[in-house]
Amino acid sequence: MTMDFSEKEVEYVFEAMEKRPITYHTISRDLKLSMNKSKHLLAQCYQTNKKRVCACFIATGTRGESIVIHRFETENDLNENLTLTFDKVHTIQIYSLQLEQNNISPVETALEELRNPTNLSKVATYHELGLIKGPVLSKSARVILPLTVKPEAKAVNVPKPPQSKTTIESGTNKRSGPVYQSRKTPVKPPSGNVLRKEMRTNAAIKRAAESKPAYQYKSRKLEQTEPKERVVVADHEEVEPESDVGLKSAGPMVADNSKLESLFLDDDFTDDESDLKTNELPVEEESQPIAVVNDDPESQDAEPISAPTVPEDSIFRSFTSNSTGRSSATPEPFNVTPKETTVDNDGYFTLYKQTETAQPKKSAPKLNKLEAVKTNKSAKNDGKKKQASLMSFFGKR
Amino acid sequence: MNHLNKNLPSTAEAVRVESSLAETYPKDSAFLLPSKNRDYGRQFFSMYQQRLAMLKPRVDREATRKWGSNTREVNGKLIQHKQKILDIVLGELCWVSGTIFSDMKHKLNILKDVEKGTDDLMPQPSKKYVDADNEAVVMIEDESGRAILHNEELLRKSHLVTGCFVGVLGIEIQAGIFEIMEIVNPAPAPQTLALADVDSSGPEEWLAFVSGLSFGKETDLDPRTLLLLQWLSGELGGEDDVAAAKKILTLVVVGNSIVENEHEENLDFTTTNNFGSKNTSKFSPESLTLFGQWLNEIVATIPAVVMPGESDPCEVCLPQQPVHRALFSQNAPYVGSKNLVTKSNPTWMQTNAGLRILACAGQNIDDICKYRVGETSLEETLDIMEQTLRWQVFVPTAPDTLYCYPYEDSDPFTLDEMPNLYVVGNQCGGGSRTVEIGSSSVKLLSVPAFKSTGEILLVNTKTLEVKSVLIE
Repeated sequence: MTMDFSEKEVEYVFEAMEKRPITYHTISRDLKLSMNKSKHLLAQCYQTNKKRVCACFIATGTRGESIVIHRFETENDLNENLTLTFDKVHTIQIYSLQLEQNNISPVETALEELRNPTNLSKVATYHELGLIKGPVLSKSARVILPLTVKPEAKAVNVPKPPQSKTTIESGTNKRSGPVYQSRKTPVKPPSGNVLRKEMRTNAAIKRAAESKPAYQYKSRKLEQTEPKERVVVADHEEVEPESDVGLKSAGPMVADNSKLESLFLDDDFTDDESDLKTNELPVEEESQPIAVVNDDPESQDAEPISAPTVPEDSIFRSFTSNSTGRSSATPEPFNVTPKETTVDNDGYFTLYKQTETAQPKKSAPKLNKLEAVKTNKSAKNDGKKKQASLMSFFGKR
Repeated sequence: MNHLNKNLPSTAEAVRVESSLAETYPKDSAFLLPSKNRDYGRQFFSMYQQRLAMLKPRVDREATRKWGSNTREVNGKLIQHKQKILDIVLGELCWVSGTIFSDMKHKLNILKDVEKGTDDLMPQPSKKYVDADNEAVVMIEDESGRAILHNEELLRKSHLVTGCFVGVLGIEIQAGIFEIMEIVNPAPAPQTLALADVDSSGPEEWLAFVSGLSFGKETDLDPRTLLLLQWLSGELGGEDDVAAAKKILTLVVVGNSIVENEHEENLDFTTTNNFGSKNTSKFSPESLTLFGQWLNEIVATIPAVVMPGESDPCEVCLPQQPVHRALFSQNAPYVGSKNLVTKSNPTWMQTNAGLRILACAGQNIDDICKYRVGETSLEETLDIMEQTLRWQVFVPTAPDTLYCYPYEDSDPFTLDEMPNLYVVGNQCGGGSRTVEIGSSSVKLLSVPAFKSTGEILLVNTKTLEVKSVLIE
């Protein structure tokens, strides 16, 4: 049986064959031809170009009580084995055509077929082409519950709504039904960890303020950094150890040291020198390079660190205080009677430095800081590094 | 080529008959587990207790009916009924009922793994639990004790495996060894609807069963899957083929739709770093994509029911829950609708006419086959299927050698109802057999793995007639 096909259709088949195998199924979908017509088209193309193309045949029939569908790679194979394979033959058709030189395997042919998937929204058109019409395609309705933060909301039993089905047979691709709601919402509340930390710190503060905790966590690391002997001085410009504690502590609880401090309020700090040292140590540590300068004979010749004195002739004299040279901000040294080295219960040594002279020179380290920095810079330019002696901390006698 | 393009179907639209599978029916959720509150910390003895509670009265009833208790004679000896196995007296003809336990050398044994120090690794599944040199030792046990059963011929024919609850008649020939003469199975459960009561008038309606599609890499795509697809959709073949295809109401995929990735088995745990191997995924997205594309074409023309199998991305334990919709890619919107239904493995199904179908992806039969030496033929597969129905437990080896969920209040694998059609997928060959169990007539259907055979089976829902479609 021959059918008339347009030139365009025949051209399409041969153009497609240049690159890949062409099946009746693909022709039917691409050219909107019925399956029967596409099978005839393939047969016609094969008959007219047997030397250039090779065909894969499909035969259907019965063997015993079974329905058999057999693929024959070539016409010779078909002619030789047809009667052996079937008791009764229903039909033979050409499954695919390809150029003889291409030599494409059946697997690649099958992959080519899958590259033309069925568009489920256009099923009606495929029915006209030969697809068996099945039940109407309907999507199952899904209800996506909104994500709620409140735990109470989770306990509520949301009744299952009746499954409403939407049909897509109308041909439009309009999506109806619930819209997918991503849990990654744009207005994102603070992340759980941050939120939890904040809540924890707030809760901790509240707890500490409201009630007396049965157990208060004390970090051993903080204990090491805190000096055993401490002086609580007014107008303290140094960074208070409490704030250091607050910065250094990794725990979520904000340490409330008011009670800790209150423990020391009644303490009798009779060791002035040791207190001064403890006060000065951080400053002295910072000014370590200054100590290097002091070792130089030039620097040693220079005046020790002291508050600048205003000449007597100076007109600014009247603006100064009557004090002889001491800064009013400097604390008066305590009269500390030297004590012996002691060991407390935890095994910490308390050393007391015995000095005879007063400590005006040491008492104004800050005022002379600027000068010291300048001298320090000049000293550095020499390129010499000398080891600092411990005595340099205390300056010249 | 006389038949080239002969007898092609007519150009008129072919319409498929509406689906014949009921949407809601008894036991439609018999194997569904709760999505939350699954407790895997329970012991399995509860399952055996439930099985005992369900089957012991039925076994005792059958045994009493057959052997009596001090009422019948065999060779001048009265048959005694012993309530407990420990009551068996040497040389006395008696019958007892109990659970079968089969001790085998290559069965997984956690105590041996602990002894070797390999208990923290996933054990490699054995291909066979026995070999030619080490046969199984079959025992019967109850709450009081255990006795070894002896009669090689009878044990081989009966295919007894761990988990069966039977009654045995015999004599204790030696301490602890019970020579058996007969075995009695539990009284079979009734059928909800007999085949004879089904109205067979009206147009023919068929169900198509396929298993073992085993979609893998693109380079391994089986062209026969496309031929199957085109035949089912009526685009391939002649008028007779379209006439057969449009009578198929539903395609049931009985497991193993995708194939697992092959891993090199590295059993060297001492010199190599074997740690990461257990974290490698067995599934590739390529196989899921291919299966999704194939299923998309199917759904356009025929409703489909998909069950998970051993190689599908589902849990290992039975019952395997329905495949999650997220794994169906472009078909996900249709999951749960009439066009695409996902079922558990195993599952009960029911036709609109009321016929009951029990389908399983084949792990139960495959595990029983491991209790035997050698390859299993189609006939032996059907024999084993028949035996599972006679034992009234169609997954008897769970939980001993087959992973399963630790049920506490029930044992869904014990039958309290006989199906009309019993389907097992992914077997070596395709075939069917009708068996009479009690007053019930059951059709056994062994669905072959499509990857190896290219065969699907069609079942008439009114007559349970079976046809085969072979794609070569």
